[in-house]
Amino acid sequence: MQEKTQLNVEVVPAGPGVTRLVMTGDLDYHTAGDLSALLPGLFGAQAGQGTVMEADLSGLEFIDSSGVAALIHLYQACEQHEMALRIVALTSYLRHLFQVTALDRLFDLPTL
Amino acid sequence: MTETRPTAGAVRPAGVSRTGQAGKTPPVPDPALLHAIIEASTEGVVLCDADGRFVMVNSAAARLVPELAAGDPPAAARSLFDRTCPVGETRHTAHGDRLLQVRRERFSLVHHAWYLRDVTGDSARTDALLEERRRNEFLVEASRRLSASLNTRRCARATAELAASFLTDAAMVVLPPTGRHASWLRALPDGTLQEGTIALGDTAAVPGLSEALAGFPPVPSRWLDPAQAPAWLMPEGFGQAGHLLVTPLPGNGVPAGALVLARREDGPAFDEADEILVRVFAARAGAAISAAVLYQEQSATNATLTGDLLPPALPPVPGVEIAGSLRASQQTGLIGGDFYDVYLPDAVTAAADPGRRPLLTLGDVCGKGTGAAVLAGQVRQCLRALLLLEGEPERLVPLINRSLLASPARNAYVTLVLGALRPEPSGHTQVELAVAGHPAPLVLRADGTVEELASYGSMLGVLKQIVVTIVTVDLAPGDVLLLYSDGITEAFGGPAGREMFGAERLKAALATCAGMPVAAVVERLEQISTEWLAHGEHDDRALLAVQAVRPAPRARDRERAAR
Repeated sequence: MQEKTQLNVEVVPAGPGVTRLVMTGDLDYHTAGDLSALLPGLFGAQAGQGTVMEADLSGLEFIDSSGVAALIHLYQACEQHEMALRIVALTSYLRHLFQVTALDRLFDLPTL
Repeated sequence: MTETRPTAGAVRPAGVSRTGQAGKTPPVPDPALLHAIIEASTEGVVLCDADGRFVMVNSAAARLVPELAAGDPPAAARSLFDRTCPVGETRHTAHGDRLLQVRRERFSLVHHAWYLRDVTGDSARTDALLEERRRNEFLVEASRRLSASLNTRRCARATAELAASFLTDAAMVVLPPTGRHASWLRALPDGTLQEGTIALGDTAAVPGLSEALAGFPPVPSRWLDPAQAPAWLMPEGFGQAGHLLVTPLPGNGVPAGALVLARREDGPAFDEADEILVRVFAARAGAAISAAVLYQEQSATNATLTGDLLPPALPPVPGVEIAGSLRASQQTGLIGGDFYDVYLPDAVTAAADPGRRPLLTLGDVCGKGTGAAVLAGQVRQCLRALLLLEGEPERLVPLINRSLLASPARNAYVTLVLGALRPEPSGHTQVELAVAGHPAPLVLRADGTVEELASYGSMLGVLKQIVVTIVTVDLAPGDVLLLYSDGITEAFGGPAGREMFGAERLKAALATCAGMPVAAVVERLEQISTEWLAHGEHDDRALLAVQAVRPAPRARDRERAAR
């Protein structure tokens, strides 16, 4: 991509015990580290407070293999902290990608 | 006299001219007054009458030229007081060890005055300034030339040439010894360049060289006896060196060699300023040479390490033609996270398992660059080892997954396609494919139809339990099976620059390749993809295509056909 789009991650409280991550922009080789870097703080602050992590991915314009890896890390981190990761919104492009990689079996995706 | 430096004719000492106007005959100013006036000047003033005889000498002039006295100019100082010199003109004349600035002015109606000023110090300062500027220009030029290359020999050559052009009559760079020898380069001011090697033991014969090569601080030139320098140190016809200066070239932590400068016997000795300049120059040259040495060592290491990560040469496989293309995302790097390979069963495996088929793979590891390339190399190697024991894609994929899960590498996530090829006598080839989290392979039929294989499978390295479905495709002679990485379909570009190439465009492009030999198909798709990207940044891109070919008729059949 010629113009670099940044990744924005907003942490939004979404009800009792639920933390929602709203991601917008590109989640790729250049920005995947930003998401991974967020994780320790995320769980540090939320430790013991939440049971569900929701991810709104509908604002992600692009994701590459590094971005997929970052989502897997997010999933694994949630697992470690005994939180469920639920993807609450995503683009059709992402859904296709998760199907191709069979990650739809791993991630809890919204039903169509 | 308030002005110590009257300019030519413009200012006349006021007191004197008023006196001149008062009388009718040319008045002779009061000697006491004159004396007071010239004594007030910090410049040396010598008053003389119309005949050039000295009338009065102030104390400043007497300090500068002690032999001055009233009367005729003393012979020793006559060159200072050249009466042919026009009034008002300034000259510089050496007198003894001083440099004097001399100027003649009209002083009163009857007198001339010689003004003397000692400019020895000014001149020395100017010379020093010019010399300093010359040295700085040399160092700037040196830095410019030294930074232009990361090649050890070129850096050493620049060092020798720079030194020869500015510092000395012969300059020799001795590079850090490798094994029992050290290479050297020698430059002369006329541009001659000589090169050679010396045995390490011979360096001991040159005063100061062994120490410099070991990185000890330089010793002053005057401590080095040029008479002890061996003949090989000097260029032919140079004769005996008169002055020798040996300076270490300091590198990054380790010495980067030594600089040997020689001046002829009739040349000037290396003074302290020279030695300081040479040391500064040597520091810059040493840094450049050591950077070049380091760079070349690392390049060699890189070449060795990347050798196995480069796209492999594809072996001939009976019944099919195969072509591949790999483009790494990083312009400078040839290696990346996409890979492909073709494996033929080795003799032992083939003997033990006659049904063993050639296997091809194309995959994409998470990430880009060197880290991804290393993982890609590991996957290829892992597959090569697994193939000694297992040949079925269905069982190979879970084994690769387990190997990746056990890998200490973070992000050891891989998507790939494995295909086992079974050519048939009819010219058809059956390909059994396992697709693990990878974009579905495409098939181009001879009539231009493009099919997308229905495949499903997990990305590898993430989960212990994976799913992989196996699809079998029948390639008729001329049909092409295309494996590709998502770098092709997810390439951003096009007219607007931000559009994804997409699977549909790839299928359309593939449809235009019907009837082409497989190498041309890959080349054409690679070209279309590159054009789409224009100048944009891109991911690693891989293409691997297999075409079933009708087997060549056997020699006996050909003979029969010819009859």
